[in-house]
Amino acid sequence: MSTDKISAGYFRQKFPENPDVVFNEVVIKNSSLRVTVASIDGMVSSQLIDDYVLKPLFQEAALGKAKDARELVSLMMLGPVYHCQRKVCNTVKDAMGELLQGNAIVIVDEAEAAVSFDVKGFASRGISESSTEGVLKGSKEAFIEVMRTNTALVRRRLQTDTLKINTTRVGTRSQTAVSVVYLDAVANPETVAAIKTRLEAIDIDGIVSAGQMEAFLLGRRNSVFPQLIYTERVDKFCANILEGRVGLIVDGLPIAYIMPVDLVAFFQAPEDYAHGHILSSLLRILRFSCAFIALVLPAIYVAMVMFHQDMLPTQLAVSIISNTVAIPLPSYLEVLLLILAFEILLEAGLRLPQPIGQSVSIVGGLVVGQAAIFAGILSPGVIMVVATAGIAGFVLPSQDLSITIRLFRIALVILSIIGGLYAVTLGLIAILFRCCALDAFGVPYLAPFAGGGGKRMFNDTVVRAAWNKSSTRPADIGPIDSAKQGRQT
Amino acid sequence: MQKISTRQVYIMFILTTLSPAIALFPSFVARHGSAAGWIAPIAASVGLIAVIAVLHGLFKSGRFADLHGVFGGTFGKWSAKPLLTVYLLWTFALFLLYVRYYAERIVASMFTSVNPDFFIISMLIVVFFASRAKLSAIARFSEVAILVFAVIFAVFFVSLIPTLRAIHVLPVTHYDAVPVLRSAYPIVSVWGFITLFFFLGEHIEKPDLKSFAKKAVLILSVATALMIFLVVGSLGPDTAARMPWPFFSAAKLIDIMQSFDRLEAVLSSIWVIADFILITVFVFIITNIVKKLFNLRESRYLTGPVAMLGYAGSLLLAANTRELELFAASSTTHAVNLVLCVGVPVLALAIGKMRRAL
Repeated sequence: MSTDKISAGYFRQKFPENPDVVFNEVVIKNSSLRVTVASIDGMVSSQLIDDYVLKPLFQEAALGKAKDARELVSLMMLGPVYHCQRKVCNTVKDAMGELLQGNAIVIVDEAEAAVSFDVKGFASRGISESSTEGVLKGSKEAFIEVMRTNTALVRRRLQTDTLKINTTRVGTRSQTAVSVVYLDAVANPETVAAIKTRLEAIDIDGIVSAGQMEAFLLGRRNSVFPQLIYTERVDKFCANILEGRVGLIVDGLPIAYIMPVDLVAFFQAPEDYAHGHILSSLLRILRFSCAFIALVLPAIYVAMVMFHQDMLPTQLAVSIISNTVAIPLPSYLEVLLLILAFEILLEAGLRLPQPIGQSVSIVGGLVVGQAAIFAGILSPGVIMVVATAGIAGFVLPSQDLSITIRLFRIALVILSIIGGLYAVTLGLIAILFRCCALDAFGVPYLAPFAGGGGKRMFNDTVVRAAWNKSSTRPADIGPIDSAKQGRQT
Repeated sequence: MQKISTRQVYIMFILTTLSPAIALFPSFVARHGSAAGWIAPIAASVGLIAVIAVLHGLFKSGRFADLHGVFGGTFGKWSAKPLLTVYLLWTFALFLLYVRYYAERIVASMFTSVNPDFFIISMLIVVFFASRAKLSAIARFSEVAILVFAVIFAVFFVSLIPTLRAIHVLPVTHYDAVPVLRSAYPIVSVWGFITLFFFLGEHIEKPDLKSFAKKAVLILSVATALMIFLVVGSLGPDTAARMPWPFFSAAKLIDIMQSFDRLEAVLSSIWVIADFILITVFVFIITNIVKKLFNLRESRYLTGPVAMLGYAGSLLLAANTRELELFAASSTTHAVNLVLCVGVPVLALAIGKMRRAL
């Protein structure tokens, strides 16, 4: 335990050549008592410090009546220095934490104490529309990088005393604030406890990226399947909290995590809940179909062309064969090369600024593709198959799942080259089996289809039931209160 | 230990019967039951209900977690070990049979010029990794697979309806009772596999066999009856009786919108899922019997040797498909199956009741 005493000298010594740490010495009006106001330039609002800290310290006569430093600290807390968020710090660690979080601290040397005032004023991005989860019909609010703003957005939507926001700090040096968000009377307490335990167990100097947080939350991350949902959307986050899931808001990240989730959750989009259940169900079925097409179409094409030509309708077989006659590459190599080209285009498009990225897509996709057909390097059939699979992958709302599918698509193509449809089936068995073996915070990954006891299989999964038929929360996440409508605690 | 539910046991059981069903049932019931053969699964369901009732009687007290415990409690410790050895040998023989059967089916329907070794090895590699996971993973896998097979069966049935000839499956009269019962004999023998699942009893949550039993028996008997009805109805009993794989021959008749035909390769590759479940479940059962027999703590490391012996044994089991079919369809095979899967549990129940051990 630190034995250092709170004093202005201590803080000056800790930040000797840091011009951003500002110290203002103030002599209290009508008194010989001196205090030092410390703050970090850029993290605080100068106007707030001037109006609500420095001005009262200089001008309030009441403070001058303090007999000693201890009484001065008490007076600061009781009125003359009026600010809604103030706190007495009696330890150096506490005072240092307050200073580094962007608060101003008034150091009273003789009292060996400091009073912290929340005068944060750092520049931040305003609340804007989500760039990755846009909807036509629905809220446009998205999370920003400031955790407290994000928690306020959640509080505004869920105005219940059962909403719990437990904040902890992670990272020995970064001291990143992380809030665990859940509904006390709804969320499974075991899940909440498990998440808190994992947060407490994080032993790293700093959390600076989303990937680090995900890796620590999931424990061992040797799976390519996404097991956490992240969202920029406040409405999606709140809807999941209402379902009984637990949320995590990390300071510095414009996203929030939701857990525990199953595979089906990666197919759910905010817009599903903006439309009627019939339309939403059709869209959901389309998404599942697209995921399957994105995963297996190139592999099935290779298997058909290489091993099972007799299964193709005669006209189609003739058309494919006539188009590949002049192509110097075997069909499987064509498919592999084109998948590789597709991945390169995708990466190039992502890394470049948006206008240039679009140009890359046009030049790469249309111009080079067209030229490859004319040059007789690629057949139109292969381009159609790979492009269809690629576009089908983009229909998925989750980019994490989309990436996983892209990875397995390549693996299945390689298997189809080795053993046609048989090997593709074995590959699919392996993928499905791996999914079946996965659990995320005790929830089977393929619930409610597997491990869910056969309940709610067609309620907000491949199809979405009407609101009046969807009166319970997902049973597999183990909510305390399972009723969403009618009987509620 | 993550336990599986009785519902999951029944689902796994239904799926493990799919491979033997398409390999054995259509030709056997067509041979013995002729046009009325499709009723055999309905008749066999009575036998399955009886087996379930016996198993329920063995486990309802909750005194024993698995069959090993039941045998020890009813027949005595000294009799239980040799009996367990017999079960081990027979389960292993069935395991070899179905590994080889699966490979021969793939060769016959998709890759006529490929050596079955390739299919045996590739399947056993996947099974090896799968059986090192928890039993709950294969149980969950079965829950998803049954949905896939429900869709496949629906498409298969609807697509085969145009090829159906009523004269092949009708009329059915009281004169068919004896042939139907004779046809039901191998079906009961295969459905008796449910008994083997209870060597995994310690992995099953409170084996309350009554729950989901009605649904399971209904699903299994109706699906099997429909499958035989359509296969025999499309090909005719005489043709179906003489064909090695009548199910896939019937699939060849499917023509979707005059564009997609020759779907037997697709069906055969999808049936690999059922083979995978069957073989993996057998590996779990075998390793669990070995664990009990030798009082081992862990059975996971046995999966490697079982898979390797499975490869060698399945090749040695029969020289060709004909020999394999003779072994699978022989009366002795069905008789041993019936004795071990039905007879011994009935005996255990009777002795257990007399000795008040249950």
